[in-house]
Amino acid sequence: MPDITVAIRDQARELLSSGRVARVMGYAQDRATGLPVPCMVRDAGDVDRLVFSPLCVQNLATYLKGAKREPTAIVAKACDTRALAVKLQENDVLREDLVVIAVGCDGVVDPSGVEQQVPRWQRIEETTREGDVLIVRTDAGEARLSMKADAMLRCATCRTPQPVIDDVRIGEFPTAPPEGSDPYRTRVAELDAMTREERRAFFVDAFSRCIRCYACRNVCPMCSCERCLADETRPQWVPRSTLGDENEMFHLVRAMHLAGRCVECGSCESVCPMDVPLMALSSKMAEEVEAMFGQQAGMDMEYAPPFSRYKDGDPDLPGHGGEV
Amino acid sequence: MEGRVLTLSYGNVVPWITALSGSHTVFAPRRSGGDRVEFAEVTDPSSADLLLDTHRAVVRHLWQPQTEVLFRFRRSSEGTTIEPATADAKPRVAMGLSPFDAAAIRRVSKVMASGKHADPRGVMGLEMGMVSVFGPEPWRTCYPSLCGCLKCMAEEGSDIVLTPIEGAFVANVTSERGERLVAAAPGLFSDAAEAEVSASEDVRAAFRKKLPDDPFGEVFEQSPNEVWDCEAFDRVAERCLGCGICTYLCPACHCFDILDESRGAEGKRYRCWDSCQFDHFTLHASRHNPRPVQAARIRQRVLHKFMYMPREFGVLGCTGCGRCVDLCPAGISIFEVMAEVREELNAAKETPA
Repeated sequence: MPDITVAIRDQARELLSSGRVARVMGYAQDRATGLPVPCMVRDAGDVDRLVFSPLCVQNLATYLKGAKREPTAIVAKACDTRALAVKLQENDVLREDLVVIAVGCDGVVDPSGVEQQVPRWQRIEETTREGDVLIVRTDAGEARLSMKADAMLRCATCRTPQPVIDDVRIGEFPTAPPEGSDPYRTRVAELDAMTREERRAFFVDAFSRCIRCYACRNVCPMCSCERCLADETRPQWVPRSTLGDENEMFHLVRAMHLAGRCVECGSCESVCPMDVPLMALSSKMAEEVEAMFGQQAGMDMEYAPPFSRYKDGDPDLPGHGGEV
Repeated sequence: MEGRVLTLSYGNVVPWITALSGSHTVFAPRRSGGDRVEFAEVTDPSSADLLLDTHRAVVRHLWQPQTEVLFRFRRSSEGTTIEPATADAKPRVAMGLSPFDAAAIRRVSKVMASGKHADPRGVMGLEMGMVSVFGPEPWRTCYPSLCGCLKCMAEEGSDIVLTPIEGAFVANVTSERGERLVAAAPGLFSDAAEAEVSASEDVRAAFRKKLPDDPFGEVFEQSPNEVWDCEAFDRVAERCLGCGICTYLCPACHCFDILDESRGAEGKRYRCWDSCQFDHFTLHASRHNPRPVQAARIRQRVLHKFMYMPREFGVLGCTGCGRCVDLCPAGISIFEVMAEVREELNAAKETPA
């Protein structure tokens, strides 16, 4: 059993039995497939359900949404702590209610890669690491996934080898970000290089595919509105019809609301069943905010998202001048 | 399989679709950028490919568009005028479906297009020809064995079942409507030789062999009261995100909402897809919500398919295609939920209160 899994269980057991937290959010093996899936442990006797492997792709910060006040420990990869930082800055969750179990990680791998190598797998028996190769042994054969080529897109240029916030640290944390170019930002650059008409065509095509399942919104750790504008019917701010540019309306509202808050985890795009390139908008907004305010969401507990605080020198206030 | 058995060479597929296009609105799978496959109305028959893997493609729009305008209205000093929306008058045919998708759509007909509450638009959408492709491989997350008989399911939904063999499809024509679709291009089909028939049977047998065994079944016999309080629903709700992927990608889901949109004196009333997994699906005007938590919504999804549909219409509301399992961002499998419910009920039976 990997050391990280053992250490997570030990921590969870202690936190639960001491009464420090009421629940631990982590990953457990799905009973049927053996894939790591989000789980909530409330009993110290159940901590052996917890696991960790490079197949733990989900950002568990999402599950803090709408929770009642309850002391919670959360297993977070270093990148996931960015989302936790923003949630704390926005008082979506209170510091005293949260114990961050930061887990060292050098990338997570898209589980769909298993199917490409072992088309008919039903159950994952074991996951082991051999250098840069993740060996996933299934009932129908072995898949060998590259920690580089098969990694989730956000891992290519991980900006957070070290966690932004932690109470407990488990495992080894890389000291420097990997070298490479950010696929999301690269796409933004490609879109920027297009003509206005080409860019328009790109987005019209993308949004026309949207089926409004709202998986992007629901999986997003930063989409924390108690009631989303898109769900309101009186008045119906965002029409639910999908005949013209209504989908675009929804996605633009969401992108604007995420400006300066999106931690670029890419969950929205990775879960979209229609392959809508959602990060094209969110990454663009992140880039703009970075250029204007010199900060990235959730990278520093000192700097709350720029649109949720006021500073005299903010560059979006003409005539105010002063330092940024 | 019953019905006439013909062969259609792969080279004759596009000519067949072309021949049907004049008199029918034809839907077929096509590539649309990258690895994506979608069912779309055929405008260029050569882009249709009946052998594409459609396990991530939406199928519901084949019978009901996501937004369907029912009528438009306009208010003036003369009063209010209402103009019903026009509909496609051509018969529809959907090609390249899996046998489970075709069966699922036929089951929706029992709800939307039959009995005393038949919906005229539902009838229009659902009365379409379906040409399914059996094989070559079942999808990884498929569980069609829950129907008990895949052969029945293929015949249940499809007017023509195509089985891919070397160089051709073997076409089992199982309905009158199927005969008409063949008659639209009579020269393209030929009677199947004995060897071709047996090759197609082998393909179907191999397909069936690759499917996992039915992991449940008894749960359908339980009464709602026993199932209602199962903790399995609460457990799975902890990780459910409440999105609409499972229901919108489901070939058998059919719940909708009706809304008005207007600007000034003009507007439209339309029907659009809705999902029982959304937190406001059952929200009343009073703000009371009879399904206030995700566990209740998951229970609804499971019981609608595996208890209410069988009770009211004699068929399951699931044909086991497995799209929901494959695409769930939280890794939830409806089949696994069923298995857990069954275990819980069995355990309860063994330990009397």
